[in-house]
Amino acid sequence: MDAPRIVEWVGAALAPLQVGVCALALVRRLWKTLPYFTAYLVLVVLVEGLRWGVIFASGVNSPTHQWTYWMTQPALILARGAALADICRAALGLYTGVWKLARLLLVVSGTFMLAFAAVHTNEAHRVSSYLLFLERELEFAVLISLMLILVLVRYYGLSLERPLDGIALGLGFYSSIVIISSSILIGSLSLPWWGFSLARSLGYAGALGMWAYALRAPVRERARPELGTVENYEAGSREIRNRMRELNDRLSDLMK
Amino acid sequence: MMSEITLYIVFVVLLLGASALLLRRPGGSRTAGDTGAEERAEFFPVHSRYFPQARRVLSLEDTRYMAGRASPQLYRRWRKSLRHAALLYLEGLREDFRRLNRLARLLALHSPKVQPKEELELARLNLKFQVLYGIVWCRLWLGRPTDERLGEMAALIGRLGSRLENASVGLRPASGALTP
Repeated sequence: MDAPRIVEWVGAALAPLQVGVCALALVRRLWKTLPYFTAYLVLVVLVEGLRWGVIFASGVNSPTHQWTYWMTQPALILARGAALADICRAALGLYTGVWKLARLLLVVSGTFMLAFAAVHTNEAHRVSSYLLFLERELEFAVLISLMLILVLVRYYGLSLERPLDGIALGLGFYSSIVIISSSILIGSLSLPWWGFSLARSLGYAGALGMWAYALRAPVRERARPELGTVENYEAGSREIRNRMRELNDRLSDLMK
Repeated sequence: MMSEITLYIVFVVLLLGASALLLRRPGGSRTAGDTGAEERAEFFPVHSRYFPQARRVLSLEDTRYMAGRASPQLYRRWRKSLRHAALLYLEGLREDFRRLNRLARLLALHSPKVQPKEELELARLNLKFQVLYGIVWCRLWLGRPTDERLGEMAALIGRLGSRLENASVGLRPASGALTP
């Protein structure tokens, strides 16, 4: 069996997995927690269906397939970006102040990354390499933003609960595969087109596996933090204030 | 071009590895929701209250007195015990700072408004404290006087405590999120 044929088989094997994970997300009512991520999974199934339709009609190496692939790819990247925003909101959305700060940081870092991408992408001369450049830089923005949100989550002593952790890791993993494969294809290393497709298909299969594992059990509704009620909040802040005043008075006496 | 590709790949692998590490749940740590009365008590400093006693023990006067009166063997043993006690106290001060730092982050987490400037100030205090800790640790091992630096550390703990007192005065429930 020749290499391009293997790519087709891997792609065909991936289709039921994509549908399966999408169905699992719908069964788990994931749209209640992560509406954009659920929409992304549905979009992937629709786009893949369209791509396979084009492959059956005009062949995998046809210009029509290439055109369809590159024209639908930006929609998927944008949807992945929205899915990441979903994860950020689900992780920090319950904490009003920190969520505002996180949004500010994400907007600043995202704008910087996109500006960098715009400048960097100008180096490309052909449309296909332009799209590859753009895709790589956008995926880079996704990966950096994911990293930023994970740092913030850890800094404030929180942790991403299931299924957020697996979904975030899957997104990061697939973005990494896209960046690496695009970099090799753009660069002077000779990577055949089938190798590029195979790497991406396998990478996506890995991400789907992570998402399926994260969705293996029903998704629990997240409880509001204990300080989220007025009584607890006021009791907590009053106690902190008194204890801190006591400590500061004591320290001031000691320093004299 | 080749080096750029390598750079991209290495950077991406590092980012992914760091993300995977950050996704691991911190072992034994509490979630942000665990803020009952008992847990709150664990945030408050303990060791800095004994700063005058520690300063007295570590003062140069005692060292001079012992150097003049005790036998060399006893003096060496005394110095060793003193260094051990000082290191334990230093660790205690660090624990105090860590507790307050955790409390500061928790307050920020539940605060309806988080100012980037204040968060930067907290990070700066943290860095300064860690640097001081390193300096005092080295000086203790070298047998140099440390009471002044320890005083600076205790003062930093006081500053953080003062910031927290002010921050807790400014705390008001968020109009939307906290209304039952």
